[in-house]
Amino acid sequence: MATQIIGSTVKRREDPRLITGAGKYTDNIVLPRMTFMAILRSPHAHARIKKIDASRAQKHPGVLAVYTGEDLKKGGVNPIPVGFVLPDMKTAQHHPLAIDEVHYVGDGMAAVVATDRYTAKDALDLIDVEYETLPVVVDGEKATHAGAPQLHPEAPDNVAYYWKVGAGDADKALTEADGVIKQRIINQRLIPTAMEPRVAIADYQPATGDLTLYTTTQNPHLIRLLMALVLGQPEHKLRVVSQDVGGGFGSKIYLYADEVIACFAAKQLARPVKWTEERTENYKATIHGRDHITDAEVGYKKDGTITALKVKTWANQGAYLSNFAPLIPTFFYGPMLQGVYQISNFFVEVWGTYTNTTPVDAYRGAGRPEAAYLIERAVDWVAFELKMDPAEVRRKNMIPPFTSAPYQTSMVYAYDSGNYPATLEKALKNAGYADLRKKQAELRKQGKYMGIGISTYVEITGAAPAQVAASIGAGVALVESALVRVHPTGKVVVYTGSHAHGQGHETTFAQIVADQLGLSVDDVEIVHGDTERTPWGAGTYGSRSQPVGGAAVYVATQRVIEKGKKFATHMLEAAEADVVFEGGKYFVKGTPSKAITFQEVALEAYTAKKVPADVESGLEAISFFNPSNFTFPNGAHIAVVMVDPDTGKVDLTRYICVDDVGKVINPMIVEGQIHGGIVQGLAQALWEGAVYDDDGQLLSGSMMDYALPIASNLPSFETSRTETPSPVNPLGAKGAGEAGTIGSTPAVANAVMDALKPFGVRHIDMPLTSEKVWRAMQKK
Amino acid sequence: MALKIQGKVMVDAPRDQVWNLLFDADVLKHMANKIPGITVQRLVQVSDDKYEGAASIGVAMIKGKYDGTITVLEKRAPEWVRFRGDGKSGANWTGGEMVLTLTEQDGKTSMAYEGTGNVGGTLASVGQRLIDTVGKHFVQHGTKALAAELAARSRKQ
Repeated sequence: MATQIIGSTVKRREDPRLITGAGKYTDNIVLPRMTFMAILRSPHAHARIKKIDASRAQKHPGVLAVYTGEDLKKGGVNPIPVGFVLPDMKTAQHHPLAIDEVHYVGDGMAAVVATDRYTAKDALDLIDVEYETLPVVVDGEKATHAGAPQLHPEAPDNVAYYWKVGAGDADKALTEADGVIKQRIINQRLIPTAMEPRVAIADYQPATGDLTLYTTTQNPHLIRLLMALVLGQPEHKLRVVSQDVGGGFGSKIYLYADEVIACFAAKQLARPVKWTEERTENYKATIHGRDHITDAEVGYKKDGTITALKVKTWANQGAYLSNFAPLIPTFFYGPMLQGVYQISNFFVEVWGTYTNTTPVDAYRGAGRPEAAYLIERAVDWVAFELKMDPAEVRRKNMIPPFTSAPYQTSMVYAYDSGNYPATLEKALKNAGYADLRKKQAELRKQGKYMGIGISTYVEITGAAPAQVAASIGAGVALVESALVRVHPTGKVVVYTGSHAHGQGHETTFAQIVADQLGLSVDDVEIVHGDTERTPWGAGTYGSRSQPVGGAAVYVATQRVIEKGKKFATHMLEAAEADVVFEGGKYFVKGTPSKAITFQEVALEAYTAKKVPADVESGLEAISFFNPSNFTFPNGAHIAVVMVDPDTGKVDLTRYICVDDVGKVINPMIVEGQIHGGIVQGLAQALWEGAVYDDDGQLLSGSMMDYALPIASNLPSFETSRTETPSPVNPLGAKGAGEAGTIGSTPAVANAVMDALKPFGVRHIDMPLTSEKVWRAMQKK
Repeated sequence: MALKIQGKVMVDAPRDQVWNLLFDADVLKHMANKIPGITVQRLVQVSDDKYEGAASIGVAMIKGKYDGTITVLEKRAPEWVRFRGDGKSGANWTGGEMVLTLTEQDGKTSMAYEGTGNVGGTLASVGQRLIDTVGKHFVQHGTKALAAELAARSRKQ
């Protein structure tokens, strides 16, 4: 019997060290004889390298080595692979350092290793490169046009892949619809901007052949596997350590060239090599997110029923395919365009294209924000055309509650469980929706423009059922493991393959164990972030840690309880079938007064005083959890904005949300995740956007030039939840890391467009800056 | 990112003299060194219509050592010249073309300039808010300094 630690607010155990400056970040690591690496990055978006002469740099005092792409190739370093492969995909060779051609501003061309950082940086200026600049394309759609500059000979027309999914007959349904809305809609490129830039330290021991990489990754095991493939370093001689990480948001999932070069150099020099990314490098050399151009057609009936959605999307993948890039605009996007609605006719086409820009991969939400933004805007377009209340259009099309059996959607997935009307109605009630509409009408009469925006999203998390993932192109099984080890005194250490970088696993995973074993959270230690200490895990992204990693912790704990029962049976001198475990105690069914504690059983496991020889000593268990389905969190978000007609400035005045992330382990941590998610999502709606000029120069290349959200721009959020457990894992958890981001972008965009309704504005593209909003208001 | 440059300065010297001095590497070096933010280490003429050099250039916090060339693309003595300049440092590059038109006015010379410049690398990604202002500042100081240098040398001749 659980003691209800699951579901209670336990303060994050990791916070005291993190907020007192005692966190252990990779950049804090100092190793004896450590050297420092700097990367020469291309200032051109597309150029042939006519000459690269490093002789002056090599002679510079303090410089230990300079490497170019050819040096790496000669040293046996392979191109960086793509971990998700679609049929007929054209994968361009991605060498850790460019050979012959550079393809984006920030593409690495040479690496300098020196005795200190400053010398390494200075020596970069001594490398003489002659470029022949080539024509540039930065736009994901224009890249496919005839005559566009070509990036890679293996990918004609810059198309990395063409992918489609559909259901019913979209063309027929559009022909038969009462109305069809055609709209171009852009989901702009974003720059993740984790507070901590990336860091890699490679340490090679020639005597043993062991290579250790300390790096800022969200998934040490995945990095070890990919690095073994790229570097040719045997996996058992390769250790990847990722300690405290200052934000990832997806950007720290991938194997980056810099990590490969550091490892290569460490082996060459037999000295530790450290590389710390600078902020301006971070903006160019760390992946970007989103960047879709879409032409959408929505068919609807006069009563507000949506009958069809036809979508053409050009997904800009940047100069090379990053590790998981092809998954994001395909399986994590196309099928999710159905949202929470009963729509039967779809046709979705996606062109993943190469351009002279930083590679694009999963960024918080990854594909689902793009899908949710499109379908949630589409619902509002229908409301706009029919002059209906957007809440009413949602009610009209919404999938009814399904809590006992999955809901088979029109495309690919079966939603695990959900009560979508409940979240919508609760959000409308919490917002005081009817009163807000009255207030809006009154304000409009006074020339004041208030907007109310709703989004009712559903997303996909808990990746993945391994066999399903493999069948659609995943290169690795996205299972998670946990080893639960009980020491003789009954203290527990959990070794998890998941990685925590803000998610609070050290607290929530301990809650799962403490709850099941009847222990205090303080009796449970969580170990993560080291391939040498923890069993395999695919890592932490896609809101998968609780539904997959947490579930592994749960299952392993159950196995510990079962193993403990073998000792308890002999200690209680009972039949095993009669022994039960409740509230941290084993006892014979019906006689709880004669119970023995978990600690007593743990001691017996290592002392064998009462058990016969055929009971194996020790008390630990491992689980590799493979979920039976993905999980599908959902929610309803409502944003209230005021738009200043004189300046176009948008003020967010209220934010109300109801999220259903399944069963919650720790409400405070979930709320924190929702808060952070909302901020990142609404920042896309209002402020953020990567800007390239036509030459492929990144103009938004610093925190001064890229508009990040700040606390003073935001109201307090009114968060709330409904709880529909997922049937696909024993915790009933669905995942909460990205929900806020996915729900908030369309809610805020819909609110701004709602405010602009008197001006006849149906759609303008994000970010909804003052200038764009003001211009839209002038048109009428 | 591109910027457009256009303007006019008066040089207190006759046009023929201005024209002859205009292609003197030493004049160009003196002129460039008078622009706040630029220090020329070297500027030499390597052929009839080509100059090479090295300079330290600072745009606010983005400082770098640039190797560069100036190439005269076309000229029509003594009134018109089109040239191109290119500079590169490790993380940045600059380039641009300019046309100078000289017209004689009462024994003095009106020098009109028009061109486009382009920058890339860190300069573009971090300095884009400054490029326009700084570019114009360089050109205004540069053309004024050039006018003064030309006038001074013309008087000595």
